[in-house]
Amino acid sequence: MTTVIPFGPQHPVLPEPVSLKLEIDNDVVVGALPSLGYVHRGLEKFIDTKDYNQTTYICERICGICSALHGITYTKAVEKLFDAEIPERAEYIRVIVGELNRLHSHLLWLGLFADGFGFESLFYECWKYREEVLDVAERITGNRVIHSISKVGGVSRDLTKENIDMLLKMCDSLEPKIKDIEKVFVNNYTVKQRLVGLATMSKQLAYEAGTAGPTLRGSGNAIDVRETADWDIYKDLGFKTAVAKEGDCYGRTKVRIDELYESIKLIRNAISKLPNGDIATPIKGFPTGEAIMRTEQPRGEVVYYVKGNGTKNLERLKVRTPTFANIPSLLLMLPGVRLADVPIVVLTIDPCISCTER
Amino acid sequence: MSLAKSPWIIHVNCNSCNGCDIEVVACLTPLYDAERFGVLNIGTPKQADIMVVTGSVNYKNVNVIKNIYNQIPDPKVVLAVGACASTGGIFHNCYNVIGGVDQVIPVDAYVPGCCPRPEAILDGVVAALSILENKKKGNIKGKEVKLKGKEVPSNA
Amino acid sequence: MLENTIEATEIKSSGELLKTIEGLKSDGYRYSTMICLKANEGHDFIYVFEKDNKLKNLRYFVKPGEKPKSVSGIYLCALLIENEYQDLFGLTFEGLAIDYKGHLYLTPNSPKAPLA
Ligand code: SF4
Repeated sequence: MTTVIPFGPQHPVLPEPVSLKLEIDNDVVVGALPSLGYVHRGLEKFIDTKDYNQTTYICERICGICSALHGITYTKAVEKLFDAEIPERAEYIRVIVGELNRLHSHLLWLGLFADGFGFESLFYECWKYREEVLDVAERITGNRVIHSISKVGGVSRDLTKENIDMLLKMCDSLEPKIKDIEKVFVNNYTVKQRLVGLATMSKQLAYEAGTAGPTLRGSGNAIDVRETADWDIYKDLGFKTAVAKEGDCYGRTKVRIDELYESIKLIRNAISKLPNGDIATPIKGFPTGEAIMRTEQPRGEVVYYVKGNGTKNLERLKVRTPTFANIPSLLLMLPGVRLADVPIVVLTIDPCISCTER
Repeated sequence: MSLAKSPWIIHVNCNSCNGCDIEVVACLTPLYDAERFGVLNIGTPKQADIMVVTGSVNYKNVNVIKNIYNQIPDPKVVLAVGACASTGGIFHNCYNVIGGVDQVIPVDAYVPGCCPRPEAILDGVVAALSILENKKKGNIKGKEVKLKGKEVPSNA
Repeated sequence: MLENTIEATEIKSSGELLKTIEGLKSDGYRYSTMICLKANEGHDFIYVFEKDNKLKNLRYFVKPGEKPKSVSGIYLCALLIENEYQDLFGLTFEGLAIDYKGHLYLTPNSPKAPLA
């Protein structure tokens, strides 16, 4: 006989209103049904009343954790409608802020994840290192979390000499610290006991289930939009996709740790190649046409669709966020998992509910 | 012993964009260290004194927030963190948003900002402490909140 | 007509749509998302598929009153987005794997079909 247990929306481990209806057979999950809507605001309608420049700020508040990359993706999508030529320097600054965003998001996730399996000192360790990233981000952009660096046509703030020194200093001091926490996550006996072999997804399954980001790459699929898609700047920066073959919670953790190193490398390379020049071009007129833009967020690939009709408001904005793509994979991963492990499995997709529901 | 020396807080995420949530959690971590005020983040409303709410209220979570509020024992203090929790913030005109938290439950202190800095949140918590102490002295009880009117879902 | 529209293959009937999508699946395409737009009383669907980082789009027009077929039988991950459009546009999909009946996001009290 099975029992249905509601999980969430207020749960001690997860700060977000994740809500699942779990069908339990004697401590083992046999079925899961996500229930959404606790954070649904209706932003895709809301843009009707805002012009396309103001929409940038709304997109940044789709999610506060990956907010910089939401803003960047949106502005790049709108720039496609204008066929605008964006100054090189602006693109490099976007990459730098985007990677800072990824660093803080992954460190945040690693901390929450450690908290999820009861390793509190590791949680505090990760969040302490994250503050270094936020300090630099605040110096560059003016806010700790909502960066608001990107605007249609370029970026709103330039990097000063002082910022660059700070960035480089942060990279140097962060790298050995990441090595420290990597040792714990990858080698620690207790951690491995909790993670190895938990909720395994095969390469094929992860591919077909339409997952994105570290959930996909943790199963051995080397797919990262940064490598190939519309934003070709990453190719010049020597980007390499991080993958892990395991396919379980351990593999997904390893991918995220590797991406921390990758982000640091990208920031360093971007600084060394940073061209001089303007940081924005003026954009005139109103957007027409439709465009799709994809970038890689900390949680995976985000797809923006924008449609303009020649007025100052966009006609339609559709955002497919990474968690939206990853939630169906929970339906496949959770059956067979013990109830006590459910929070960890839910955390490994790095759920961002406010992204999912907008 | 004074209650204000070790207030336990419950953090409720309503309709927020996560920006405020991660700042609330950042308050509890070593750099800002809210624990020096005796603050402890606790998962269950039954043991909490201060309710920290982030984000606005929408039609689906209005029940959740009401239930959590009613379960907190007296004296209790509600702290609304962020522009969203205070007034609805940038989302106040969205179709699914009812408004700030004070539309549903009584709020004692507000921390404005989008998103507020951890220092500001700590300030808010400290302000809430004296309110908590006063409530205890005056034996002020929170009223049981009942939903009325159109925000009650018919299947609730 | 709009300039710089995205490239998309026009699909005429729902039978053809399901056949094409099945073909794409056996070709190794991943379901990325589906975009719903209001157009001439009805709705325009743009299905977005992805393989080796290339996108392939299908465009399908849903006549007013027509009940579009769900593709969640082919790609399970389509169920969330189709449920979302049931909520937001008041559409009804036929053959959904998990049907939230228009209450994925919205409660009976929230505004009905806000985007329609
Ligand atoms: S106040 Fe700003 S940062 Fe906080 S939840 Fe609202 S939109 Fe997000």
